[in-house]
Amino acid sequence: MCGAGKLGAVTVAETILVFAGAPLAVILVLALLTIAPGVRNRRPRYKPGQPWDHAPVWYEPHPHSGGGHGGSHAAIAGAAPAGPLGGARGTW
Amino acid sequence: MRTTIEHDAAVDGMYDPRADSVVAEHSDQIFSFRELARLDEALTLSSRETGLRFTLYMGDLGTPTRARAEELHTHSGGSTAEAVLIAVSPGQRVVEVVTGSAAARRLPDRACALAVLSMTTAFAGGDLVGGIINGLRQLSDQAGRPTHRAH
Repeated sequence: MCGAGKLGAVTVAETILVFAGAPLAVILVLALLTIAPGVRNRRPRYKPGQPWDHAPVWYEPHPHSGGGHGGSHAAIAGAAPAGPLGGARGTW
Repeated sequence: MRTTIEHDAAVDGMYDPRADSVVAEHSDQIFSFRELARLDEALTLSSRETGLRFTLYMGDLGTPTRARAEELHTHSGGSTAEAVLIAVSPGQRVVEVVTGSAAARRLPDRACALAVLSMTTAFAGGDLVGGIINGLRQLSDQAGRPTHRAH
């Protein structure tokens, strides 16, 4: 601002860089942050009516905290069906 | 972290099951790690709270779905009288809840039907994990805590 420092004229390239380049860069960064996590773990989401071609899976609770009175003795005794079964059924 | 594990396994020539499981998990992946963790937590906590043994089967259940589910229930391990099997067949759009004889006393069929209803509502919206977790929560709330009676 002192006498020697004279501000040079802003070129067209600099104007474009500031008014077009910078906003574009910001938009690109935000778009990347938005899209990238979805692309990384893209899995086919279940939709009702589509075929299910996965292998059967059986999920169990952690054994030490499971129900019953535990032990291998119970596992042997439980091999036979124990009495009448209850439950419910539903379709969607 | 993962690369160092595989590198170590390659160096000492040992079979590293972790590296293999990561590959297999990507090839046939039903749920994400986060969903699996939620399912695991729900199953373990409901089993711990109620003293019953909740297991979840996801897969095809032949043509008489009820018969197949009851057959699976007899093989569910532990004492089957206290086992509760939730069998979900998304391909057939059927969910079956099977309770053993001791579990049925604490989980009447009407309570199971209510849990099944909430599960099917979520399933119809495409939310498998949310439905299962809500159903488990309803079932464990209904069963309550185990009563320790003197014999």
